[in-house]
Amino acid sequence: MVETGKEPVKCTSCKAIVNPNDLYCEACGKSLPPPETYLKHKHVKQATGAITSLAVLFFIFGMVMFFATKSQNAVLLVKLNGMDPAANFPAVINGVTYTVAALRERILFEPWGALLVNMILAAIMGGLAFWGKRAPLPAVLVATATYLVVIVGNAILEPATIGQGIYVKIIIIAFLVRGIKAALALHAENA
Amino acid sequence: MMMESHLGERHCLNCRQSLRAAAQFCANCGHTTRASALVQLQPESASPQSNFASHWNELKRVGWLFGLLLSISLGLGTIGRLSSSPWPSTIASGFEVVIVLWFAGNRFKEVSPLLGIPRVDMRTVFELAILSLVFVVLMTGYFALIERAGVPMIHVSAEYRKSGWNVGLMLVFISILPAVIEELAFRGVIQSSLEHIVSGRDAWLIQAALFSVLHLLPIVFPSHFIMGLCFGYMRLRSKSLYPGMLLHGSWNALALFDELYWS
Repeated sequence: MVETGKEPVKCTSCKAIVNPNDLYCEACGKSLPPPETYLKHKHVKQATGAITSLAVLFFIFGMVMFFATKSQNAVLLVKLNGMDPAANFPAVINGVTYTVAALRERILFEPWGALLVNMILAAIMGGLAFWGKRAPLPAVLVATATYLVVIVGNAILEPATIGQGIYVKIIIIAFLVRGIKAALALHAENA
Repeated sequence: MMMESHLGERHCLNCRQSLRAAAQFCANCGHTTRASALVQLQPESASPQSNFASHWNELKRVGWLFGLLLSISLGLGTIGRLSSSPWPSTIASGFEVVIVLWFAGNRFKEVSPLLGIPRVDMRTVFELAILSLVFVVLMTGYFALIERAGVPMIHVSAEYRKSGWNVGLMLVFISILPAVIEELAFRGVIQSSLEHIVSGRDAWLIQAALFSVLHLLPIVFPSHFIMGLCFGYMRLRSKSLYPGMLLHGSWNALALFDELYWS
């Protein structure tokens, strides 16, 4: 017997409740997808679930980063307050020499930047999770590409991040790839 | 079309599967249980396995192209941290040209019609011109907005200027070459491949999303998604890559001249 979750399986033609193992609808005679299709549906659901989780993770991470960066930068701002705004800051930061005024502006923007970036990503993932209910294949494809790009983008900014949370990253990617395969198989069944 | 056993259980005459109460069709073979309806109801479609295999191969092709372009960005980003020379960008552009041309060559049958002269009527030309205008206004507004919000802007021409490259070379490497290569990759190879798997509309949306995220900066994801939609729409409307290349290159040139002369 195939596990189908909480929702009863319905015929796409007449909406009668059918048994997941039936090949044809008993009410209208329409051919039903093979039982494995329900497993694929389950995998697609897991993949869209992974997209929703990513949306939540980006949202939480954005909030945490915002407050953490803000409190961390408050100390630096106090130091900068006593310096001439037109003078160069004595240390080179990421290969760039800043004036005190420019560095102050950058430090003020940093928490907002972190928040903005993570909120954009959370919104993208939220939108994709919503779209995934109607069009699972495009949504899972775009979510996977976006997630990979975020990993690569972070690695460019901070190479050490590529190894951070590597197991979680692998699990998320595995869920997404399984979702792509399941969505593709479903798509092929319906083609 | 049914028979009753001695226990009152009904069975399908076609496959002998037992029938549930009130079933009008056999759940196993789809045969009707009513004597009056003798039609074969469901002709079966083509093999889903062969569909899956061909779609999976198309997706792998898209994945490889996207992955290779992403790897070049990773390599370039890593080297760019250590060097302020324009040569890494130029070499990366060279790699991109080779990769995209190789993929386009593999999909020559689909891509070559897009490289023909666009066959458009005056109405389409007018429509695309209005779209281009709206595009420039929207993008200018978006970038002005994020600049005003305090987002640090990247000056792509800075390393070229430091190395003394002239405006003509900057125009080639910053404006024209990326426009041609990205149009060929996203609106040529990727959109064409995806059209084999999903509907034209979904292919259009996916290529725009991939184009957007490949630019790596989340702050430009929304703007570049709209860019991808515009260029993709131009390709669909004109059945050619040239209008998209023209608008893409012009936008890149505008951004370059803004950096060089107007900022």
